[in-house]
Amino acid sequence: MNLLSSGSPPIITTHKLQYPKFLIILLSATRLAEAAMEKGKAPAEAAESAAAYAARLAREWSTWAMKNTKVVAHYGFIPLVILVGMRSEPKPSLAQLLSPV
Amino acid sequence: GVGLAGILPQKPDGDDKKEEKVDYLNLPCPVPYEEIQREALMSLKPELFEGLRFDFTKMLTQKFALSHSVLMGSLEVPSQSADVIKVPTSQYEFGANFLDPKLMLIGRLMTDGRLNARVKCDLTENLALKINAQLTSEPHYSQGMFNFDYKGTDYRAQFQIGNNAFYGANYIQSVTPNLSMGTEIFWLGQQRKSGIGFNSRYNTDKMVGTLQVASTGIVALSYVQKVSEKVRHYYYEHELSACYFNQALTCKYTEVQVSLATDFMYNHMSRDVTSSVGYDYILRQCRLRGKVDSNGVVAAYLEERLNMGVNFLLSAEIDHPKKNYKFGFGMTVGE
Repeated sequence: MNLLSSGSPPIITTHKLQYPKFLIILLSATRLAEAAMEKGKAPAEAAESAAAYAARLAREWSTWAMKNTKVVAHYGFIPLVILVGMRSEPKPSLAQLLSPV
Repeated sequence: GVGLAGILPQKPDGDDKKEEKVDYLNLPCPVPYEEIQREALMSLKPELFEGLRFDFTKMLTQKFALSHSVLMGSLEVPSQSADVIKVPTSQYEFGANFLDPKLMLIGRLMTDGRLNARVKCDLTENLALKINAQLTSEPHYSQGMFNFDYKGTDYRAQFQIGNNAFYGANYIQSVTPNLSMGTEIFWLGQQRKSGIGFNSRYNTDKMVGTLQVASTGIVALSYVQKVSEKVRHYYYEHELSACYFNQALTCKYTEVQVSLATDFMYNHMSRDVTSSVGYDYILRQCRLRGKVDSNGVVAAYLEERLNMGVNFLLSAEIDHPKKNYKFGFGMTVGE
């Protein structure tokens, strides 16, 4: 909280800055990861050109994206179908969804 | 006429099909490439199961349904010896279906965490996207396939992308009103394998014949003959009127559809030949399918409609050489 805002009331901070807070955390994590990678490969940077470095980054991030897409699809597909079904006309009620008859 | 011949309706004239001039610019759209053998598959490969099966489908709206499915039976474990080893298993599967003309979402989730997902979405009038995925909790066992289908006036084209760097494309074209021919290529990235295949399908109102040849060494032929007859059932209809003895002889027509199917498959790599012959009786209240195989397997599958929305299933598969007997029974409730 302290590094995000200064002077605004805490309640308004939690609501208004929820979305930007996530972005800031994501960006700082990215910067930390890049810094760590740079530290590790500073001696070898001379051997790897910029294009190869970009390709490697793209591959790593696409692997990360595929892995997380798979997890999201695994947990979220059935809820997605139920959500789409509950919003279709005529809208069924929650009691109809949960009752066994 | 005399007697019954007077009151029975006249038999319709035999179909005299006029010889129509074929308009080669206006051919019908062929069936999708993966479905050219669908009649043979429907008749010869029913969903045989072993044990107890119970399916319950609850329709919440016309398009949205939830399903619960229980299967208690044996699972065959692959074994080195010639013996068949079966492990008793039970599973519960929860499913949610959303069926719309433009969007179809089908999801099935099992107790061991496996998800079977199918999506079909019409992006435009001619272009459809199909996704078929089996996701598991264990890593590296999941599979997925994306298909882009384009439907033209008398052709269909499909492009596939799958996991493990699988890429495939196929194309099928109507050549005459009865004949359609197609080709496919695929490339498997992980194993650096590629293949090409050809198939053709000839169908009329009464029969369907297909041929498939692939560079993986598979030759498959199938033939289905449809025999449909309107069978006359006579029964007495009792009139509960003042005159109890008033019985009217009523004649009702029931359509019985019988399909006879045969299938032949040759695998050049493993020198494996299999041929099967089967029948498919679609009656008013039941559907009975049976087949005999060249491997010595006899199978039968019966679906009997007991009541509106209640089906009774019986499945049997007898493998004489391996002495493997599988019998199953079940019920399906709901549409």
